[in-house]
Amino acid sequence: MTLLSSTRWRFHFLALISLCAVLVLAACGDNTPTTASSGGSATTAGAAAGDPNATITVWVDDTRKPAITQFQQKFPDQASKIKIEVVDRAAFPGKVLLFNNTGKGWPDVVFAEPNIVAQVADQAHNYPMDLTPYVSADIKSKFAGLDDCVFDGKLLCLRNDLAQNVLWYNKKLMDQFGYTVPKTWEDYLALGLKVAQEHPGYVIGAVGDNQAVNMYFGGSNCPLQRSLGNSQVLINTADPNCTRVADMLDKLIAAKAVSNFGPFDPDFAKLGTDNKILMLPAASWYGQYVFKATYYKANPTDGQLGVAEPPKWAADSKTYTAAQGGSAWTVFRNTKNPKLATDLVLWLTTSNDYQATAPTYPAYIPAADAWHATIQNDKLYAFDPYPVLKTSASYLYPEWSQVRYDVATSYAKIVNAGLKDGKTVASLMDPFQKDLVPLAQAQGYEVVTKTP
Amino acid sequence: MEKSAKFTGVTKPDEVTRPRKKIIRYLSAYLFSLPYLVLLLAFGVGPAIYALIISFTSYKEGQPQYFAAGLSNYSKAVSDFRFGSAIGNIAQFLIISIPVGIFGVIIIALLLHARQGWYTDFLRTLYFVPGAVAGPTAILLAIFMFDPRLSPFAPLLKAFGYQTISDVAKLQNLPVMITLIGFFSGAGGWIAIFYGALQGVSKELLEAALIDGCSALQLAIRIKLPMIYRYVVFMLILTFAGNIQLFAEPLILNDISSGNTIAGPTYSPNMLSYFLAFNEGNFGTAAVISLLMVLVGLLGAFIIIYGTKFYDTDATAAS
Repeated sequence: MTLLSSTRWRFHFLALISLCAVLVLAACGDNTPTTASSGGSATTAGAAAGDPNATITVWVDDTRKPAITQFQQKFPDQASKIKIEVVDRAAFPGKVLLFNNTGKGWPDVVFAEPNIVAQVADQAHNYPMDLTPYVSADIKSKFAGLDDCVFDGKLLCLRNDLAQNVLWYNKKLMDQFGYTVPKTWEDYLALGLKVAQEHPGYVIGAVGDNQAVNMYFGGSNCPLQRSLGNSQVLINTADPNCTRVADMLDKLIAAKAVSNFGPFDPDFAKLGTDNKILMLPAASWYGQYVFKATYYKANPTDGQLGVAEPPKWAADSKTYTAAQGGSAWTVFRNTKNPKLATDLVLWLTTSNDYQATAPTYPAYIPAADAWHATIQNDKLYAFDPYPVLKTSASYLYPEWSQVRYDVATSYAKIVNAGLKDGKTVASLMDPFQKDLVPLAQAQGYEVVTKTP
Repeated sequence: MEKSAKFTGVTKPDEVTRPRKKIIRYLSAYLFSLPYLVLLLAFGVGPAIYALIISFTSYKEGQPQYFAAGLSNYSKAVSDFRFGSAIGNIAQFLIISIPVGIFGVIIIALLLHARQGWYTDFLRTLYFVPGAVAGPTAILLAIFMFDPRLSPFAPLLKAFGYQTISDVAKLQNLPVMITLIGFFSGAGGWIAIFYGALQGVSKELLEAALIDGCSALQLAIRIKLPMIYRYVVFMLILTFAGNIQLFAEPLILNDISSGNTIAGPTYSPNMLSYFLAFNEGNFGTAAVISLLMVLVGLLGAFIIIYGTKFYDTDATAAS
């Protein structure tokens, strides 16, 4: 039996070893071209010239696919050089890492939020091209929210649309209750407490999802994602700009003046159907895509939705607002056809052909002025909301920087979850800090808690 | 030794006299197992070897520098600030899910076997049905089951004080939620296997036990269970190896309500590995954690196999 089993095992062993050898060789075989091509992709110099006839791959979502088709119709000689792929852009940073590994496969133009651009701009991804040489100072000056595309002085994307936060309110109800729209967060708090007393059941906000961090903390210049350049970020949830928000929210939550649900929770939507939403600080796209499409869908109520600029903190010299989304176009630094790729993103972001009828608020101001017509006469609104949206876009500020760590998810995990367990926002500020700091450090940031 | 050769060594005379026939016999065996071997190498052993290589690799501007990292990825993995909590979470989940799974299946199988007939056959099939729903779909279905506003178990959920899905979907409830999902989608298959094994227990033995005055409970615990313990061990190995790989359930449950998260993106070691690789671009450390999972799985299997003499046959036991 010993002989038998040893022979058998020798056979098994040899078979396994030879298969492993084949496998390792195959793996090495795959790696050889990777290393060879990596030499080329590691340099950026070659990209500048490019090949005007090379085909480019464009990654978009379903909503923006027609934009590319429109470009192809407008410039038929370029049409065949553009390959459109509809993708989930959340997977884009991970895919870039894989492409870097294999040395091929990168898309040339990608539609993605600036925070995704931030993720692919680090040393490991090293994806985007500095668009500075391709965009004139004049064009740059006509963009709102372009700060979000600037990383360490490089212009790594062009803004497609903005999702600046504003203060939506129910004009009919406000008039009926005899309230004036708050201009400061202090007034907002005072009005909330008054509503809770005089009209319980009506709400002036929703704090149950992760966008509350953008809406309220982003509206207060609270340092959660303030890039100081050179991979340094300022994170300090104990900053007075943060604690004043926590205190305000705790008072409003205790009074039930803001809902503990998120704006997309069915329970909150029901408040919309029941016309109990008095005010809702939220993004610019809420009018069309949330109020019209969800809250007021069951009981269409024309002419009651008003919009105001986001409130300002009385002590601050200016208004701050963050955004819930808003995208951009970024270009691969080694694209074979930089001319076509940059022409495309410039056209997509600045041309009225596409932007004037785009689904969301254009970042390019002349295009936004043309886009105005799409909402000007919409019966949904109590008045033309465009002037407010336009001014609010100018309150987006660079200190609410685009960073590689995910503040919103951390906020949901710590603050939203804590609120559901009955804790106060103020008591969750310290755990929030402790969650954020190592996340930022893992992404290669040096974290400071005071402005140097 | 000689005795055992009589039982197992049917080929012994061939070894000396007809080596060619022996080789053909081995080759045919390999030919039959080839499809499995190819898949095992392509999707099991191959990636593991690749992970081993990657675990010593560092990245420069996204390009792999093979064997340049030394052991730094290993030290980074164990010192990562999320590593401890991921291990703690998975341990918590294993402590809950494995006993519930094993005992649940054993109890149901023994109960089914105690009363046989058409009703038992019907129940056995019924238990099997949820297993037909593939992984992620089962999780989506479970989300409805956990929602007090939609679930048929709403009165039960409300008795626990849960009014909305976000009351249920909390971090501390996660191990139990995932255990329930796993049990309802996976138990049916195991119940069928255990039931089949119980059918294999000799009727004479059971009758003898009954004649000796065995109660139904004693029959189940003292006679039937020891006769099928190998299947229990087999389930233990597979459940341990499977559950330690926890990934899809927390990932999908994270999105249970829009704009919120239950577990965060690094709840289990596999999720941490995924996050490290595809979010932070740290493939080396990610590979270390995947290898660690392979190691723990293998180690668990070895302990269980050798601790229970799982592969022993009558013949090897005799030798």
